[in-house]
Amino acid sequence: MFEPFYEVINNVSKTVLKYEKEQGRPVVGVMPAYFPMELIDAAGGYAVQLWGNNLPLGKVDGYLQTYCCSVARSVLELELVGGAEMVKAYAFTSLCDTLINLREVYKRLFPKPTLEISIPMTQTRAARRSYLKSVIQSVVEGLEKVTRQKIRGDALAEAARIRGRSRELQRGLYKMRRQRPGLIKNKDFYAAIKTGFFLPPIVYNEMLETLHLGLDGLEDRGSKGPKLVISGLVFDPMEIYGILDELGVAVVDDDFANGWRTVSKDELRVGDLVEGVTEFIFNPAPCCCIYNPDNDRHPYLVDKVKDAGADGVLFWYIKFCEPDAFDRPQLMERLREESIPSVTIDVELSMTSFDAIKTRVNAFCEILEG
Amino acid sequence: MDYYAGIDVGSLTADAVLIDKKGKILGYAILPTGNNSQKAATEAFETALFRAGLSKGDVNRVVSTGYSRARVQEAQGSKTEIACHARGAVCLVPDAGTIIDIGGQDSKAILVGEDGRVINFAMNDKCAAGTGRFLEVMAGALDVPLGKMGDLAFESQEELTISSICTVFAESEVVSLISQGKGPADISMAVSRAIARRTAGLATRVGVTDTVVMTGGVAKNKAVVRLLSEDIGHPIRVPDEPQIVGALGAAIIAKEGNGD
Ligand SMILES: Nc1ncnc2c1ncn2[C@@H]1O[C@H](COP(=O)(O)OP(=O)(O)O)[C@@H](O)[C@H]1O
Ligand code: SF4
Repeated sequence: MFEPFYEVINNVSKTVLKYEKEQGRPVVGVMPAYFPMELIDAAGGYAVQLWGNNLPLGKVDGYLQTYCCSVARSVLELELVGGAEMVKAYAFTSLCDTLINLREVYKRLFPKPTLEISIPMTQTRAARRSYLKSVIQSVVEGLEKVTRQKIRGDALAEAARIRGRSRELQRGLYKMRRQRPGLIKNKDFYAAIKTGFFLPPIVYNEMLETLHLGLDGLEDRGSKGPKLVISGLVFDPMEIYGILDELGVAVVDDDFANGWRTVSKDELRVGDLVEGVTEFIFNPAPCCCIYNPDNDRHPYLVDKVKDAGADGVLFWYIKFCEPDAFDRPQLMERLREESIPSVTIDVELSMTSFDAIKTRVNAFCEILEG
Repeated sequence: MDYYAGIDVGSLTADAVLIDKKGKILGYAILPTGNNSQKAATEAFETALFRAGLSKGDVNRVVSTGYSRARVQEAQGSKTEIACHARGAVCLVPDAGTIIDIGGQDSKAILVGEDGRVINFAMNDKCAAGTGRFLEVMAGALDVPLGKMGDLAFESQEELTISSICTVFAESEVVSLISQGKGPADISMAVSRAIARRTAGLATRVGVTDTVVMTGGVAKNKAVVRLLSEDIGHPIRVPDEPQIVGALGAAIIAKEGNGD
């Protein structure tokens, strides 16, 4: 049932080239995170999300320090080794210092246009809106230049509907695994979510609809190990799900930037685009990279664990990601207060040896199982 | 009579322990892991059997642990080294609260509750800094046998510091200290201090209790133990043979019929 998804994520370049040709749309590489891709769709672009890759890192050392996260480093490596030739422009979000700097690096190194949704750091909603108004304006103009096509209202509404449907279908999968832990293997689940990074949304939606039909009729296998919630930025490397599956762990929910934090977003409201995008970025799930005091991560994570009936939390730490690292001690403290056990694994996207991670997760399971 | 075995295949040594149904140790072995962990496990098991005067058929259940726990053919079950070091340490020192294990390539601190169950743990498995391998490299640079490093350190007169965390850089610091004419005792003490400092940080992360037990090969270095004890502000108890505590824990888990 999941083969078509693996077919995509194991052959990303081939897939992107195929759809680039089929659609005749310029590929826009979308950096982490929360860039409203509806704008790219409506401008006639082909949005491909770049959440990092597992290339061996070499050339990037000349441009980005080794203490930057492997998400940023591997994406730059891809461009440096010529693996991103089909990408005609890049869409950034000012999520963290690394990404803000990365855009500057791209501007200097490559002739490809870069756009940026610069996220305001303010508490007042009015200030957010007025700031984002000019940001959106310049992103729209930039996109129209890349695709040589105006963003029309009807195209935007259609894009919002289609992307909204993708996330709705993804939410369906999330709901299913919460209610029936063990039904979907962890690896298969994330393969299905990840596939969406690379496909035109219409094609992806069809795949998800088919998957839903297949899963509805499936019998529960139940899970033998503990139920976990995972929190982190990026849900790679996929090998770790193989370990979790082997240990019988059922991931029942997550708090990944490219998982639930994105999936939970409702259909983009395009009637008032500025209001819509503001809402889209700041809600509903809180994020370590988005300053929003009205949306506190601490009770949010505790509630998530309780709602999902999870036994503990696995912090999936992409090494050197500052926003994630800054938040974690307090989050762990809060979980401790609620007697919710947690453990942290340190990961890098290019890692090849998973023994140490297996020992940590295994030891954590032993604690949970008593 | 019923017999049980635990086999701990670490990055540097493969250890096996045989116990009877009362938990009494009948024989054990510590052998280098080498490049074939499966073979090393078998050899350690057979050596321990030989020393205990037993044969494979006498053993009811074998549980493996350690880095290569999944590759031990003889085992019917396995547990992580976290669970096994905790179990072994609590068996030897019943009121153990914090357990510090420094092995060949990793170090860990484990917090156990009053019932002996693991509550929390912290591991340093990212690099060789502050581990047995670090100690070995420095002993090599000093040309001092590993087993002598601890005693030698106690003869230290001058306080030296090794500031690099990385084993490779620390080794060049040691080489530079040697060429400055600094004595091996002072350098050995500085090496021990570097390990102790890193390990103290790890222990603090899980919490330091009244009774601290140290396991793993590096616990044989008395200078590291004393400095670590000073750093964490608590006495540290070291079992007679700290290197087999993981294997002992695995044997006890085998006796209890556990280990998946
Ligand atoms: N007599 C000794 N004195 C000091 N250190 C020792 C001695 N024997 C072994 N060691 C240290 O113990 C380490 C191996 O510890 P061990 O617990 O067996 O590791 P692992 O379980 O990871 O294989 C070696 O790297 C060495 O530094
Ligand atoms: S992983 Fe963290 S540091 Fe890296 S790009 Fe994402 S938010 Fe920034």
